[in-house]
Amino acid sequence: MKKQTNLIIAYVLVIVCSAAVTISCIISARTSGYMPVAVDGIFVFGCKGGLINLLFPLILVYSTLYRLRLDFDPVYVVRRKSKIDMWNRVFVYSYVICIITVFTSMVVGGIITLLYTHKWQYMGIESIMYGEFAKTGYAMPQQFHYGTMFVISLFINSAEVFVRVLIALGIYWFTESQVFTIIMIMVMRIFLDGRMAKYFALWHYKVEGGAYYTELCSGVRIMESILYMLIAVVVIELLAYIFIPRKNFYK
Amino acid sequence: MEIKINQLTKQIKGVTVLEDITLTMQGGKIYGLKGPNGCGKTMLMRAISGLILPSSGSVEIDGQVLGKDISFPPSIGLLIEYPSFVNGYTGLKNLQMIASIQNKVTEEQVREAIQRVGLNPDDKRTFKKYSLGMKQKLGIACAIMEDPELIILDEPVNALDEAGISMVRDILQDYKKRSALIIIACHDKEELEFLSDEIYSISEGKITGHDVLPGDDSK
Repeated sequence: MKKQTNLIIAYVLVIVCSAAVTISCIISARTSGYMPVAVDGIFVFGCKGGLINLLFPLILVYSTLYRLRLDFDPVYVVRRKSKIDMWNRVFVYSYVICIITVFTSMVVGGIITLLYTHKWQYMGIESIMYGEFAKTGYAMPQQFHYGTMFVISLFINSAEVFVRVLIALGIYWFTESQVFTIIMIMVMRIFLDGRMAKYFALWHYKVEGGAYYTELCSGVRIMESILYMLIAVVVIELLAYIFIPRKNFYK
Repeated sequence: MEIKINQLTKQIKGVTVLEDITLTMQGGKIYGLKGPNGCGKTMLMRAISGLILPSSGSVEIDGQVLGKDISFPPSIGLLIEYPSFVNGYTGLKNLQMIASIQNKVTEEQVREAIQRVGLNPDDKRTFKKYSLGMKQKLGIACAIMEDPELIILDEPVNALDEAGISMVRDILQDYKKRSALIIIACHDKEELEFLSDEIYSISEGKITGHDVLPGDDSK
């Protein structure tokens, strides 16, 4: 199987998973008595926890491992500038595919919900503001822009996938075991999303369904979210720069 | 090129695979490593390539310490065990992909390297359909295609017929004349003695002997 084929399969899987989760969310919402709209599809269904925290990391890590499967072969290794250079390639590649994946998922979520309900937005801005204030206690700004919301949401959600993918790839670098790496992604899902999650910084930048207008527009949690994401990435990179030069290649 | 190994010791999970190895190697010579299976020949080659880091001691390449000043030797071609070529690609495409990492050689030079080992660069067969000997030749072509100053070959004549072995001899002598430093490991004692200028014997991770062979212009 060629590299491109692997990427196409991974991309199709991302679309199928996003569509399946979105349809499931729409059915669930309708059963609960409310009509979801395209905005819900983009900002909630397309970024659902199961996608961001489990399915996407699994697909992307497996795809990355396949693409980089020759990287640890001696003939490839000795031609790199350094071990850090090898890691940096993984870093950049992972970030790009995380952005593309989350972008696709949000768009698929929005399109499918729009096709189901034919509505872009359920309520007027005043109703949204009142509803969000009643629900969260946060006052929304008078002006907000969906484009800005999209960019911020894309940034934050892709960062969450990216952090998980980076941790998993870091594990692979030192264990060289695909099976163990995949298992660790599932363990991360439990650890980062479970009860212990509230003690973990990553939890803070999770965009929660139903409060996304406030969270994304009011700025209450945007800076906090971006800061935590940056801290997580910087910590991973610092650890990588300490441990990666010590990596041995026994293949 | 000069390689200096100073009191190199490598332990893996508590087992000492290389112990207190000290030696110096100079460009323009072929160094042979001999010893039984599992004695540490390949591990020493990995250490010189920068693939593994010493538990203690150091490996210097032209005064630069591997793992501190540089990660890998700056100009190296190697064949250690079986290279992971892509089964679905032709020999040419495989080598082009590897050459693209450093981008130091042109397609023409890659083709020349393939021809040099007796393969056809326009062969449409994929790597999967290569015979063992052809795979070995492609591995050697990969090692020499960038005209490296340091060539490390583990069992270079494995699976090769008489003509193939003769071809390897010619290539090594040619690179020796170009002042490359060549390190080979080979189970065939006669072949190793024929090819090498100096031979290091290794046993249980230690250097147990060093023979400087008499010069032979007929090599």
